Amino acid sequence: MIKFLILILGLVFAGTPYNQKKVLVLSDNPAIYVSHSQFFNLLSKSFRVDYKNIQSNTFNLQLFGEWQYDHLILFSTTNDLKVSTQELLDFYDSGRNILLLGSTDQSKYFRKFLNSFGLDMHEYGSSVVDYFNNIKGNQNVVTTSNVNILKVDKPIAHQGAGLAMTPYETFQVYGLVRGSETAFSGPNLSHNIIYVGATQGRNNARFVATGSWEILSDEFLNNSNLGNFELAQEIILWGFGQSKILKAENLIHRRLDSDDIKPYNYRLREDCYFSIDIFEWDYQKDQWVPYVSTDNDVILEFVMLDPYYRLPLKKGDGAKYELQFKIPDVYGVFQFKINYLKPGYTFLKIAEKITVRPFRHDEYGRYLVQAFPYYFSSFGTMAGFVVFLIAFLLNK
Amino acid sequence: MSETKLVDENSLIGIAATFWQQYSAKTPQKLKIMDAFSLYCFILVIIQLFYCALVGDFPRNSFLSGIFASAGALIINICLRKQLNPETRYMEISNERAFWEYLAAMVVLFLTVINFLG
Repeated sequence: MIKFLILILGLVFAGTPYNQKKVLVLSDNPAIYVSHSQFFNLLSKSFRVDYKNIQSNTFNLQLFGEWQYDHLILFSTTNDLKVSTQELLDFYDSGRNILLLGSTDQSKYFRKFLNSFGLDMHEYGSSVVDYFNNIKGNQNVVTTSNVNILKVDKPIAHQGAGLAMTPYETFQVYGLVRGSETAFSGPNLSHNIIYVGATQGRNNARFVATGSWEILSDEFLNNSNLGNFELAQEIILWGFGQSKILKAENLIHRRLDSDDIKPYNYRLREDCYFSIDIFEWDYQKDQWVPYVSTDNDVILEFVMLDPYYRLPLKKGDGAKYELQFKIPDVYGVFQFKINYLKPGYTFLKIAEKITVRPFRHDEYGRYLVQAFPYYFSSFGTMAGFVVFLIAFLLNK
Repeated sequence: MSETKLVDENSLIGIAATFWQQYSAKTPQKLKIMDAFSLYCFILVIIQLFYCALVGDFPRNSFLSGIFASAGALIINICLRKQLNPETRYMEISNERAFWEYLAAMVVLFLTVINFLG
């Protein structure tokens, strides 16, 4: 009987491992526990979730200098938070991810907070309107199929305000779910609306912001014609650091014909071999698997102030990406640089410094055929000199 | 050098002939040997420049050492010849001393050339 009880307890506790990450959900509207219950079910499957009221004093993001939570979900409010924006940004800078569910009546606190990530909420009181792609003729409940980075097959429904991206080109801000071409948002009739936007920082922390609460609510998640359920799953996976995470290690560079790894220096015009292992995190198998890049786009740059080469790495066996090339005809301090900024994946920035030396005094080509006249003339001068000496000194 | 052919001796061929006759008569044997060597070196320089103009100076070190060998030998030879001729000497040292300096200069030149030749 005791053994049976222990077995049951063991099974129960096996489902709640203690090394799961902790998520803090902050909101000031207790209605979300009903209207977003499916979303929180999905969350609880892979995280330990703490629900706190935004206005309460009972939570601390930081305690004695240590972050208490690994991820943060914010439901926007009409008031300001007690936690300062700077503390939230520090939370993000430490590598932890944030999901912000905005609404059109959120306070300036949240609008400014969005701005630090390159996103911008549309005007107060505006909402996205679409007369062509909507549900049941209701122009306020709009649908779109324009999804980047995440894998969602069915159209996604949205009701509420939209976001806008920074007007200049950055490699960090993505529009995960964009509005269809027929959607617009008054009163300024802005197009190119983003429903779910994301920013990935240089420390690879991810920030996801939606334009409304309804996009992840039960009403849309339970609708099997819509892709909102998959969207919720994908946001939880991507936004909280479980999918599309890359890791690069085991950088090897050596001369082509030798086995010494990372030699002291290279010479001009030598053949060089470079390889690196790139892994991707597989959350289902819970391990790093080799990353397969789809279109040959991991590029190695060989840089000394300017790139001398920019060559794609070839996929070898396993996770290895390798390349053989000839070091250019210039000597100096070069860097092997990999700047892999594929949208949606973590940024891979690798730099390894090497020196390239010029030819040693005895490494130039010897006995070249085209230099024969010069060889002959030098030795001919010396021979003539000897003959001259003999003639000069023996002459009376 | 375009003069009218009034007198045979003032034409170009006449000048060359006079020069050759005077040179053969007046210069001592030793200086003639030195002049022969200088001419040889000069011809080598001309040949190398001609070759470089044709093909280009690819192994530049070899080109420089070849030119330097022959042109340098030529110049050092000319210096010794100036010194040995009592009309044109420019340093007050004995002939033997001048010859030793000539040998030293040639040795240094040839060492440099062999070092640079590769």
